[in-house]
Amino acid sequence: MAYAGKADFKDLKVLVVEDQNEARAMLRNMLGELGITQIFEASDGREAFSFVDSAFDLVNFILCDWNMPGMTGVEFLRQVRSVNMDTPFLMITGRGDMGSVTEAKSSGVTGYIKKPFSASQLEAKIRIILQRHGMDA
Amino acid sequence: MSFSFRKILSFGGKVADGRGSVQQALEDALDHYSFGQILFDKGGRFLFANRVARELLPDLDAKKPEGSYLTLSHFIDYLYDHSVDCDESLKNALGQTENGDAQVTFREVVSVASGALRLVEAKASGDGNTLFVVVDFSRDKAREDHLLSLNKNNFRLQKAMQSATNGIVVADAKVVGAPIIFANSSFCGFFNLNYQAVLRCGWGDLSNLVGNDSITEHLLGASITKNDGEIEFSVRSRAFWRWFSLKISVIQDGRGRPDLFVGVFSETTELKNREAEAYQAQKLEALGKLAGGVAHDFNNILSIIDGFSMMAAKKVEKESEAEQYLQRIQAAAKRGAALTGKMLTFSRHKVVSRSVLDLGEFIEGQKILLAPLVNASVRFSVTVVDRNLRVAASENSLAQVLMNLVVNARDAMPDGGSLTIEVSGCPREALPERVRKQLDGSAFVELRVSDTGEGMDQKIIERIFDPFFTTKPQGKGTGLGLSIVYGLVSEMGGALHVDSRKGEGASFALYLPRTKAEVSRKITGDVSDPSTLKLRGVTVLVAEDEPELREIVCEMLVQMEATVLQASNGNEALLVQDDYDGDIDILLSDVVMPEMNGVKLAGLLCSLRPDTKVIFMSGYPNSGDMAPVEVPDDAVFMPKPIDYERLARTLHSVIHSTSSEEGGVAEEEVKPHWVSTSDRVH
Repeated sequence: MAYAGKADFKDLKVLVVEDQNEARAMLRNMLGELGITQIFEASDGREAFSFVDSAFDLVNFILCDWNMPGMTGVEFLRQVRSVNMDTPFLMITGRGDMGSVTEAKSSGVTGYIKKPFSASQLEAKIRIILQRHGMDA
Repeated sequence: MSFSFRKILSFGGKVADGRGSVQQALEDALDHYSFGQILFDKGGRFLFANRVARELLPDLDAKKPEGSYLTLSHFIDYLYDHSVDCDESLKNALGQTENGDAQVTFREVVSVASGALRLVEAKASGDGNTLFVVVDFSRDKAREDHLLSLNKNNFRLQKAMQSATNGIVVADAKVVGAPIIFANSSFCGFFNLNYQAVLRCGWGDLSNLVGNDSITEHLLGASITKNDGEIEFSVRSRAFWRWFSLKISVIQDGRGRPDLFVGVFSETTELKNREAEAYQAQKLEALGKLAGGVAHDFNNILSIIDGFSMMAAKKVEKESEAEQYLQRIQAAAKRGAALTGKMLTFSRHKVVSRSVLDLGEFIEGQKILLAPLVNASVRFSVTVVDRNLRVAASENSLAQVLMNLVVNARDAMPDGGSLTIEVSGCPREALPERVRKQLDGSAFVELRVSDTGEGMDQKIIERIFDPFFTTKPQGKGTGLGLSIVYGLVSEMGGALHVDSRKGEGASFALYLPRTKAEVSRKITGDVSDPSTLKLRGVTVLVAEDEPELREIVCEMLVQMEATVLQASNGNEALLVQDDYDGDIDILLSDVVMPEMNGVKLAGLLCSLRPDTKVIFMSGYPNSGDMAPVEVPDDAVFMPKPIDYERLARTLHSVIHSTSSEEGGVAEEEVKPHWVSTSDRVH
């Protein structure tokens, strides 16, 4: 069975969408801690979308910040879903209020994680999303 | 002149001849008289009428038969026909003249063809003649009507002023002491005064009458400077302050001297309260947004600090100085995260789950946790006045609210005193007015935390819910405690009311709507007889890969009336908890499972749900060489096989330890539960 330990995530190809360089670097390191080695990065929604649109098979998991200048995480998510891409999508949010959660869910987000979060929380969320997408069964 | 005389001749007919020039002159003079004059001799025969009389009574000879002289009798007939109110004396005169008596006396108002009114007065002269004086009465009548209408209007104006909702007082500025000459019922009602007593007072006594000296200067100012002006003042009426505005007008006479002082009182209490509430709500909303925004951005920064320091700590040599520094950075980042968490609570950015609970029982359960916070010099008591008061609230939020209020009360009494928590039912009518406007519903529960400490003045009360406002010394308080209380109470659909005065202690009352719903969580039974224990409202997630064992444990839990969730492995357990919106009180997990062991699961699950407590079950020893997975020393461990009584007893004790560790998350530093920081389980 997959994902029983660090090795579980070895097949994951994660696209990190985050406008802040430090935060992006931190996410990269955190994902590395979880044993994820295939990591792609984009610093805004537009860049990220042109990447997944042209090379969708390169990515099977998206980790995206909600609050970005230009295109927000939710806008990016809608674009991804509009081209019929069912890629697991974990939204990073600074907010935990009901309104944002509802908005994210209605836009087709698979899960969200609230800042600040630990590596454990990130791991738990990734596992939940993979379960939801049947990638663990 | 001869004209008038000829006219007299023309209607009077033949006049006795032989009149001298003196008489002629006299008659001419009478023509210039402003009254009408008509003269009859003692035989009742017409002598003359002057020009004015002829003009005022143009048809006075209407009764005269054709070709004969005008007589007194004809004239009286004429008057009688035209009289307005037909005075008794006129009737007598009518009789008299018919009997040949040529001397009459009366006054009568007659109406001539044009509708104009004439006052006709009959005067008997000494020589037996009768003189009629005719006056144009129309103007006098109009004036009289005017006076009557003035009187009527005055009466109606008085009524209007009496019924005004504003209090109106009028004083006579022309008289020494400016006596009050009018006060309406609203004025008397505002200040609970007797009307007659008010009328015995002067303008300057108004400050005494209303009970506020501050208006004295204003009253005097008005009487000296003649300037109109407005002043606001407050008066204490029973337990409340009432606010009024007083507008003074000085009405001047024709020479510009004060004639009347008019004071108009309007009650502005409600307006004041509304303004204050709107201001408070706006202020807190703005601060909430600000705090929420700051917290949001700050969280991003903290994530970076926390993340990198954690990574750096893994790169540096173990137990080196650098590692210690990095650990300090991480600890500081965690404290920062706790602070932003508080700010988000205030600005209501957090999702909070609610359950129905009996507030009295809840508070009694909290007593044991709150008591250690209070110094020995403080007398601490919890009184549940009314039983069975159920509210829909978050236990965690309530515990946090209580904790903050108790800590504040304690800090207000450094030299001791008494701290009282009281729970009672409260019908809508008994709510403080301000609270009544905020809350809907008919039945409420009041939770009151009172102290006998130093109290607060109004200025401080107005700011206590502002974030970062604190009266505590630097470093002693974040100024977020009461902001959090405010945020949590608003979120629970309740309202707060503060009663305090400088030096007289403080009392914080929290009002929550009562609910008729059943209590969500009801733990009953006797621990000494675990078979009687019931755990209604307690949610347990069972993670066990062995289907039969899982079934047995779940069956036991169902018998205990607990809410049961189940999963056959760690990943499934994570998914189950993600789908479940309510609180999960306990994770009951097997230690050794394929895919993910129980300890790993506990670490991941508790990183998402820090309030969830864990019980491990295993057929292996929990530690030592034989243990395939090392279970932390302070974890709750149940060796298999699992029996009903032990399970019930263990769950019961863990639930109670649960409530003893939650709550202290406001201003007090809380020790993290071992599973609440995920990093320890890696």
